[in-house]
Amino acid sequence: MPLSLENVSYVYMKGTPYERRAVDNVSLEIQKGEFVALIGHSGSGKSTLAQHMAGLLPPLAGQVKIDGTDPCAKGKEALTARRKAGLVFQYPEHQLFAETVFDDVAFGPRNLGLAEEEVRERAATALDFAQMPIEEFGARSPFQLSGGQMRKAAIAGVIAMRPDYLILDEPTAGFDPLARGLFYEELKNLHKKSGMAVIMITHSMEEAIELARRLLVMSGGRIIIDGQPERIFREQRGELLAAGVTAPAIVSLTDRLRAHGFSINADCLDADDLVAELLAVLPGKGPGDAR
Amino acid sequence: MRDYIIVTENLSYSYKTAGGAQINALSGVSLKIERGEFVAIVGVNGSGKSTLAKHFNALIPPQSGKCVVCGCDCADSQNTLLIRQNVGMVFQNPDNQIVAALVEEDVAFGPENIGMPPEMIRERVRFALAAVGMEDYRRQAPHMLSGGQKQRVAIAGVLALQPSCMVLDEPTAMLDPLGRREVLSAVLELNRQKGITIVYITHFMREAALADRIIVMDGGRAALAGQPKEVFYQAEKLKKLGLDVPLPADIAWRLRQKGVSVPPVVTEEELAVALCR
Repeated sequence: MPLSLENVSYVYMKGTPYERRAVDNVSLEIQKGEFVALIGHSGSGKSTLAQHMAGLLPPLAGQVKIDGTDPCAKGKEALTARRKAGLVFQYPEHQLFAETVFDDVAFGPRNLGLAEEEVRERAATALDFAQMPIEEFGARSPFQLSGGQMRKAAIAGVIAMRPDYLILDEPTAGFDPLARGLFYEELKNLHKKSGMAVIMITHSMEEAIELARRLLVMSGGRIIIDGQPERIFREQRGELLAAGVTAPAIVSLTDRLRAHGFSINADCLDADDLVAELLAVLPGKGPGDAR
Repeated sequence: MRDYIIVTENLSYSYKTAGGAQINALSGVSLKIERGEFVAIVGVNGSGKSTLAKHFNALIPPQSGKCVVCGCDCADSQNTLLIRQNVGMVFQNPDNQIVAALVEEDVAFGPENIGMPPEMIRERVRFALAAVGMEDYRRQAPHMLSGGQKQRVAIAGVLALQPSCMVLDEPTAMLDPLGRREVLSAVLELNRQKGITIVYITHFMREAALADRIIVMDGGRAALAGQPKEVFYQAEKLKKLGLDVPLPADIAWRLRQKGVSVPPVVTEEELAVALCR
């Protein structure tokens, strides 16, 4: 059963001069095991939508259902539904609070009322994702870790809840390129191993193409495009740009080269492909006759 | 005779972690930054970028080696005030730098603090907000602004003190692509139009590519320095240091690997023109 939104809308500060419609009549369905990127410029409603998906913010209109249950309702069933979705906020390291990494990661599982043995097992697996073995990091203070480790420890706290739907709001903001690459490798592995759905908010089209099989583009509170990233790039480039999504660097480079008369494929989304295309068309510069 | 605003000689800095391990954040950094220059500092986390930058306005006094800013030795605490009036800092998170409830009051905070007469404060605030394109927001509450707008207000707050140099430590790290563009173009304008020296720390190579010069930090040392073209020509070395290269420079590097001769390039246009030849 999926995570589904039906005609969901939300308005901030309703009835005041600052009233702003953040989510406007959104309907969509996300299955377990999917890897979805949610993209759009600031203020397009991404983070609000993420909170609806996680059952943290009841919509003003419409219905959210996690595996068929309204997570914003009262009662035990709704609680179970809410626990199926885990939301990692922006800068989750600001939410670290416990004395040790283990206690911080274990906070959620303990709240579920699990036996201490199971709590430890879950924390250990979650910390494995972060490549922070519990033996080495468990007893350390989370406040003496590096920035990247703090972020990963905080995310491990959500993963330890074993959600079916993991929602991440710009998980690599502020990371250097090296840390970003490593983080995405770990996230890919987690997704493959766990079978959970990953829904990732990002500003980077490059990341969406590299990681996700499905791309949701938000603009003005609506999902204006929903489909496979590469295909969207081929067929709906204009709409993407109109939504304020920056094209991947490779797209604008390819366009520029084509404008200079290079007859190369306009749909190149990978540096290796672009190099191969160029080698084929560069006169006298092929690999055979290097100068 | 060149006019250097910042000179470091063999600058080193180390500290102990809570666990007792010794970390060498800077090891023997010697560099010179000219007045009016736009210098980008890049490097992975922990490479010493921020520690270096904090020496530039005497937030950290040198442990060993020398740091001279505007002709003043940073080791002498009597110079601290003068150095800080000349070199302004802007940090990553705009929310940590904004103190007032109105944009114009926030920008006025610095000038008020040094006891400037009210008429002059008004003039400075007008000047600073205009310089970053935020004059229309002067009566707004900072928390209602976007990240890029808040960061521009933070820059205006530094600008109101009319520093001759600005050190920006990853000012766009927390911003979206639009906010990044806003901040970067404001900074470029301050450098090009008002001649303010810029030291700009970033992880975004596309931003570093716009600088006059790039300094690459690695393990507390200045591993590489030069014009963007020269630095990005060494794509292999940068990748080994865990850094990206702008895509056109990367494609040029990959073509060179395949035996194609391509001159150093940074921009898309430069690559296209180079390949047309």
